[in-house]
Amino acid sequence: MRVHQLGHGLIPGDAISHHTLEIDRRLRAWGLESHIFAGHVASEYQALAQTDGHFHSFLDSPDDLLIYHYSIYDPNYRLFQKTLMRKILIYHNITPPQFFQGWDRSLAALCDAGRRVLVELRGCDLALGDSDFNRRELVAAGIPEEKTDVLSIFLPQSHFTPATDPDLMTQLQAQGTVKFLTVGRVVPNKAIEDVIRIFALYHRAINPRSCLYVVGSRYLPAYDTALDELVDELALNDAVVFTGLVSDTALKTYYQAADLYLHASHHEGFCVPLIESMYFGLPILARKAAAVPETLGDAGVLFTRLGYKKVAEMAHLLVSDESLKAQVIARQRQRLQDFAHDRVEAKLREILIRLHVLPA
Amino acid sequence: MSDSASSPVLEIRDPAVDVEVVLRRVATGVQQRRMADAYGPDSALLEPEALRPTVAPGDEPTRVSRDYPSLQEALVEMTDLAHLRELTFTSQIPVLGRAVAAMRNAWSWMAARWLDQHLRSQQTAFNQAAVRFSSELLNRQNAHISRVCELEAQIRHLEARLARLEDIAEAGKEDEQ
Repeated sequence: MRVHQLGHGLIPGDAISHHTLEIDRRLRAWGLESHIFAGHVASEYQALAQTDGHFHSFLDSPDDLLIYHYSIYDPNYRLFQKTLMRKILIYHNITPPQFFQGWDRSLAALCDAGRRVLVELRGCDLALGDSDFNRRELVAAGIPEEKTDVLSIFLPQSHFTPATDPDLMTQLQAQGTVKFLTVGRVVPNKAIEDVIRIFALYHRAINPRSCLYVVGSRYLPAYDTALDELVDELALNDAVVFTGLVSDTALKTYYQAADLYLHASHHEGFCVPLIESMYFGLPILARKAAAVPETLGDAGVLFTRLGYKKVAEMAHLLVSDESLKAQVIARQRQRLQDFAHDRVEAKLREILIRLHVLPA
Repeated sequence: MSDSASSPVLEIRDPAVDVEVVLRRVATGVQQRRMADAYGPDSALLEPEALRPTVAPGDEPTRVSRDYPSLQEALVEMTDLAHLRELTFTSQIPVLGRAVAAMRNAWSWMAARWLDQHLRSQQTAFNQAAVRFSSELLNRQNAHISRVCELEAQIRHLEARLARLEDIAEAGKEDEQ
C-alpha cells in the first residue's frame, strides 16, 4: 500500500515539515510505502522528498492514499482535487487575511486565496485539524462534521531536549532583571504591540529592572517600523529586545533564562511556543483567543480582554510568588503529556485503521 | 477598554489554584499602584490600541472588493422591499379618526381592491425577479473576486519559484566559472 504526502514546502526548522517527516517515518515503520512531495523541497531534504510535479505520475492510482498538508495557498491543491486516490486533508490553519491588510498586500492575498480554496478541498475522505479550533474551521468550510477529526502535530523532539548557549546565558543572567519572553514570527496577528504595552506597564509601575525579549523573525517592514516607534514612544529602548530569528540553542536559552511567557496573539491554529514554555517550566500568561485556550487546557493563565493593569499585576504574581508559580508550572507539565509522540502516533494509527490503510 | 468593565480580565482554570485569592491580590495590587500614582500621568499612552497600518499607494483594496459589502447590504434591502404591501389607512383626527380611516379603507376596498391587488402582484413578481437577477450577478462577482485573488496568489507563488530557479541557475553558472 502506497501513501503519499503533499504539501507547500519541506524546509528545515518548519513545524509542518517536521510533522510530515514524522508521519513518513511511522508509515514506513508500519510497512507502508511512503512518498513525500512539496512545492519547494530544501536541499537538505532532497533525498527524502520530490517536488510536487513528480506527483503527476501517481494521480490515477485509486488504491493509494494521499495526505495533503494545507497551511497556505499553493497551486498544488489542484493535484489533490484531481487525484483518484483516497484523500486525507490535514489543515494547519491559515491566518485570516485582514491581519495583513495594510501591512503586506502579498501575504494578505495569499491568505485570502488560501482560505477561499479551503472550500474547494471538501472532496476528501477525512479532514483533520491539528487542533479542534482548526477542525471547526473545516466544518465551517462545509466539510461534514462526521468526516472531520483532530490529529495533533508531532512536535519537534529536538525542541524538547535541553541545550544552552553558554555565552548568551551568561549575558542574560548578568543583567539580573526579570525577563518576559514572547516567541514567534513578528506579524500583526500576534499582537506584539499588546505584549509591549503590558510589559510597559509592568516595567513602569511594578519593576523597572525588567526586560522583554521578542524572539522571532521580522519580515514585515511596515509592522516592524510601527513596533519600533511604539517602543520609542514608551521609552523602552533599553528594555525591549527584538532578537530576530535565532538558532534552536539560542531559543532554548531564552526559554531557560526567562521568567514569564507572555502571549497576546489573536489568531493561532495550535501554538507551539506554549508547548515549549511548558517544557522549559516557564509560567504562561496568554490571551484567550483562537486555539490558545485549547492548547493550554486548564494550564497557564489566560487574559480574556485587555485590562493591561490587571494583566501586568498577574504577570508580577506569576514571577514573584514562588508557590503560585510552582502550581502553574506543575499543571503545565501535566498538560505537556497530552502532546507526547506516542499519543499522536496512536491517533494516526487509529485513523489509518479506520480508512482500512492498516489492518485492525 | 478600561479594566473596570464588567467581564473578567483574567481566567484561571487550574483547579489547584485558589482563583478568588489570586484575583483579589491582583485587584489590590492595581488599587495600591493607582493610589501611589505608579502608572504615571501619561498612562493613557498604555491603553489598548491596535497599531494602525499606513496603506501605501497600490495597497488599497480594489474598488470591487471595497464595494462588495455595501452591494450585499443593498441586496438585503432590495429583498425586503421587493414584496409590495397593501396600504392600510390611518387617521390622526381626534375622536372621529378611527371612523375616517375605516371609511377610507372601505372605499379603497370597494373601488380599487381588484386593480390594486393585480398591480401589486405584478410589481412584486417583477421585483422578485430583479432581486434574483441581482443576487445571481453578485454571486458571479464574488466568484470572480475569488478567482482574481487566487490568480494573484498564483502569480506571486510562480514568481517566488522562478526566483528560486534563477538563483539555482546563477549558482550553477558561478560553479562552472
